[in-house]
This record gives sequence, C-alpha cells and structure tokens, in this order.
Amino acid sequence: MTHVLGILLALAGFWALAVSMPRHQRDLAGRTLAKSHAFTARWAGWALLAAALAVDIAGLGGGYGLVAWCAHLTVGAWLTVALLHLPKR
Amino acid sequence: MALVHTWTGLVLGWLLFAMFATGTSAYFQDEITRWMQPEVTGTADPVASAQGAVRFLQRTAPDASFWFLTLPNGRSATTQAFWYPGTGTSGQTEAVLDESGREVTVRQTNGGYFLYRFHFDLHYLPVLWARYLVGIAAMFMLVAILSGVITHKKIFVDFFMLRFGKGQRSWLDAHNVTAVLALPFHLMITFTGLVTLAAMYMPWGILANYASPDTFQSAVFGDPPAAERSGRNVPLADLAPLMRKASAQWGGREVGVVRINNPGDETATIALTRGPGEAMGSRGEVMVFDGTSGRQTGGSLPQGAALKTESVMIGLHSGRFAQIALRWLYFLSGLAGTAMVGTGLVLWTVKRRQRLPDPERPHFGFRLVEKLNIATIAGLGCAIPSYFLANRLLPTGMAARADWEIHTMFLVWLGVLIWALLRPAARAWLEALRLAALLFAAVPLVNAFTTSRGLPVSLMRGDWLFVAFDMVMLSLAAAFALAAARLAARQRKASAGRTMGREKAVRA
Repeated sequence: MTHVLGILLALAGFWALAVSMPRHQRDLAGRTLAKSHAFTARWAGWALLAAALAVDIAGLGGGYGLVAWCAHLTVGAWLTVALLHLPKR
Repeated sequence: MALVHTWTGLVLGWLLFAMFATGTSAYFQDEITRWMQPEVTGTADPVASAQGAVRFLQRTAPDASFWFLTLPNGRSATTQAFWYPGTGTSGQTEAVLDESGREVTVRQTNGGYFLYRFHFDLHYLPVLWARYLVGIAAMFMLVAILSGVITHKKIFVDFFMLRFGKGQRSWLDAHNVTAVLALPFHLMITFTGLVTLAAMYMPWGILANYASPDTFQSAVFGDPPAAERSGRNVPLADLAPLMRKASAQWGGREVGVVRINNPGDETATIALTRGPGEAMGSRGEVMVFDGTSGRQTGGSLPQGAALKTESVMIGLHSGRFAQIALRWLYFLSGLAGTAMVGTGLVLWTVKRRQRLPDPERPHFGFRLVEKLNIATIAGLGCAIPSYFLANRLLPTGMAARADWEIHTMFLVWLGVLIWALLRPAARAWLEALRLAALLFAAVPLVNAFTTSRGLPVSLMRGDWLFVAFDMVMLSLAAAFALAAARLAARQRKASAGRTMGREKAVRA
C-alpha cells in the first residue's frame, strides 16, 4: 500500500513540476501560465516529492523507506513522461 | 566531456549490456531457479534442510575438508551443497538437495544462479580475468554516467521529454529517459558493484596489515581457520539447537549459510552465517561453534562504521533484503539500465550514419559497431530465452545436462553473431529481433507442453511465480516484436524514399 501511495505522490509531484515548465504548458494548455501560477506549481511539486519521502519512511522505516523512495521517484517520473507524451501519438 | 561519454560508453558497452541484463535477472534468481526446477514444489524449512544436507554429506563426502551449505529461504526450496575435495569417480563437489537431503536429480540445472554468476564471473574464462574485465567495465560505466550527466546540458529542461518518430532525437530522448529518471539506481548499482569486489581490485590495505587474506577473513568476519584433521572420529553436533541459538541471538533472523570444517573429526568447527536477505546489510553476522560439543567458540566482531557501510552497499546492490514490491522496482530499474546501455549503443551508429561519406558503404569501424550491436542486443535477446527453452527441452536424464543448458545459450548467441556478420545490417537487425520475439514467446508455450505447470493451470491454481515468469516472457516477446515492427516500417519508408529520390534524379 505504501508503495502505491509513494508512487502516486511522486507522480503528482513530477506532474506539478512539469506543469511549472513553459514547454509543457504549451503542450498541455496551448499557452504559458502566469509566473505566479508556475511558481506555485513548482513548490507544490517539490512538496509532493517530500511528502512521498515522508510517507515511505513512515510506512517502511528509515533505510528501507529511503530506498523505496528512490524507486518511487523513478517510476513517478516515468509515468509523468508517459502521461505527457503517449496521448499525443 | 561528450567525447569521454561517447567512447567510455562504447568500448565496453557490449559487455555492460550483458552484465546489466543478466544482473537484472538476478533479482529474481531464486524464482528463476524454481521455474527451472518445476518438479520441486512447496517450501522448505531451513533447520530441517540443514539436517537433511548433513545426512546426505555424511554418506557422500564424510572425509571432506569442508562442507558448505546455502540453505533455502522464504523464496527458494532447495539447499545448495558444496564440498571439497571431490568424491566418487566424477569428482563431484556440489549437489542440489531437497528438505530431506535427497539430491534433486530430475532436471539438473544451474537455474537463476548461472545468470547471476555470469554478470560478474562471465563464462568459459578464468574467474580472475573475468572479474578484472568486469571491474574495468564497471569503472567505464561510472565514468560514462558521470560524464553523461555533465555533458547533458539540458538535463532539467529536457527532463520529461520523449519525442516519437524523430530519428536521432527520439533515440537520444529514450537514452535520457532510461538514464536520467533512474539515475539514483544507475549510480548506486555501478558504484556498489565495484564495492562488492573492491578487496580484490585493491588488495593492498589487507596485504599491508595481515599475513594473508585468510587471516583477515577470520579476524574480521569470524571464519574459523582451517585445521588439520586429527584422524579421531567424533560425531558431529546436531545443527538444530545451534541454529536456534544463533537465530535468537540475531533477533529472529534466520541462518542462511552453514560451513562445517573437518566434519566428523575431533577438530570439526561449525560456522553459521545470518542469511543475506534477512537485513539490508548483506554481510551477515557469524557464530562459530565447536563441531563436536556444540559450544560457541567465536564469531564475527561487531561491525565498525566502515564494515557496516560496505555491508549495506553490497546489500543495496544485490537487493536480497527487498520484499516483493521493492524487488519488482529493482527489476524495472535494472531493465531501464539495460535499455540505457542499449539505446546508447544504437545512438552511436544513428548519430554517425548521416555523416558517413556513403551511407550504403560504411567504413569498417562503423560496420563493426553496428554488427556487434546486433549480436549483443538482439543476440542476448535470443540467447536468454534459449537457456530457458533448453531447460524444458533437453532430455531430463542427459549427462552434463546443466552444462548443456548453458552451452545452448552460448551457441545461440554465437549463431546470432555469425548471422549478423554474414547478413546486411538492416536485414540482420530485423531478423534477429524477430527471432528474439519468437523465442521469448515460445517459452510459456513449451512450458505448457512439457510440464504440468503451464499458464492456464498456474492461473487457476494461483501459482503466481509461474504466472509472473510466463507473463515476463510474453512481455519481452512483445517488446522485441514491437521493436521489429517499428524497424520494418521505418525501413519500408526509407526504401520508398530512396526509390523516389532515384526517380527524381532520373527525371532531372
């Protein structure tokens, strides 16, 4: 369960980080976001990645949680890439 | 820096691809072994298995100078026994045993253990050479990873980029997505891989402080020093109470390895080592007992910071501590590493093809790289399923059967290399990728016809290990088939383009 939650939080975090980047804003919405919105998205992204770490350590213990977090970040980032680009094909 | 990345990545890239692919399979080493021993079912108790193995060895190798047992854990069901010197007319030194100590003789195989050993010992080569070669490759990998990060100028801007159908750009994106997004894993696995063999690559610290590596081993890790047999026979102490005592001492963690020196002799010693999967640090604590009275005589020292770090690094590398969910994530990361090396190798040719003076007749270096890419990437894709197919198709009673499973794998690999050398590169890519897809797809099929544990049956029984194995084979078959289909489409487009170009030239 912790693994699913960790991956979802990492996915949400990376998605927010992607949204904070002008290139992906143009791809997703056809326009760039206001600076303040992009700023919010960036901070939300980092906060969600940190939340994933907190959840992993709480659920799996310090060392094990840290290892799992690295793996969750990777899978979360891959899912973000897939969600960004696969619909375009 | 770009130059450093390109060439360090290429020179040993083919070896690294094979190391990554087989090393990735090692995360499911025990599961692969269980798939390759379909006659062995159920689980085994480590204590009963140790007692069974002792009974077997008392019959088979009573005069050995040592017995070495790797006991079953929650994931495996058999005991690996090694002893020395060899016994019988064949000089047998190893056996796979079931819980009651009977030799598993139905279908001799090295199972997942072979693929695991191959990723750092290779095969048909002296182990020492292989390990130096593998160490050099890992060093190159480390340089390639670090220089890759430095040379990747748009690492943050391109973080989430994956463009399809854009030739070189797409290959570069795929290389980045598999490399950058799993970077923590790649860095960890490469560095800790070097750590596992660090004492061999850099022996001077030990040589300067100890008379020999053996004295270092027994001083630090508690291995009992070998002693001469006295010749007076005294029965061996029962292992069960000793194993229970050790497990209690280690907070319930189980014994994984048993080493008995001079078994049956007055000088016998019993060394119990904690199982490598029982904690993140893979270097388990050791307890040493007098082999006749069962009195504890020694053990490993409490680990200091350096030893603990080493132990955890090796543990992180081998992932034995990982439960099933994390184990799958390890496996996925390993696949990404394999894909990173593979896309990097292909990228080398894609990038240079347009710059060739005559793309129809590339120079020797380019042809060599292209052919070796085919032989490595598609070749290993044919070789690994062949190993599994040989396990099901070779006669079960055949002599040297386990060896022939391995020979089959290398013969197929060699066959693809020769094929790649003989055929035009574009055709060879397509044919070898298709063959890999076919062979992977054949594994579940052949399994269903040759055993009673085919996919429909294992699905109904909830035999998830067999279900997962077959599903992974089918997924790999699909991946190779997809690669072949996309390549075929591209080749059709390219040849149509060339014909049009020629027609234009004729008209003009």
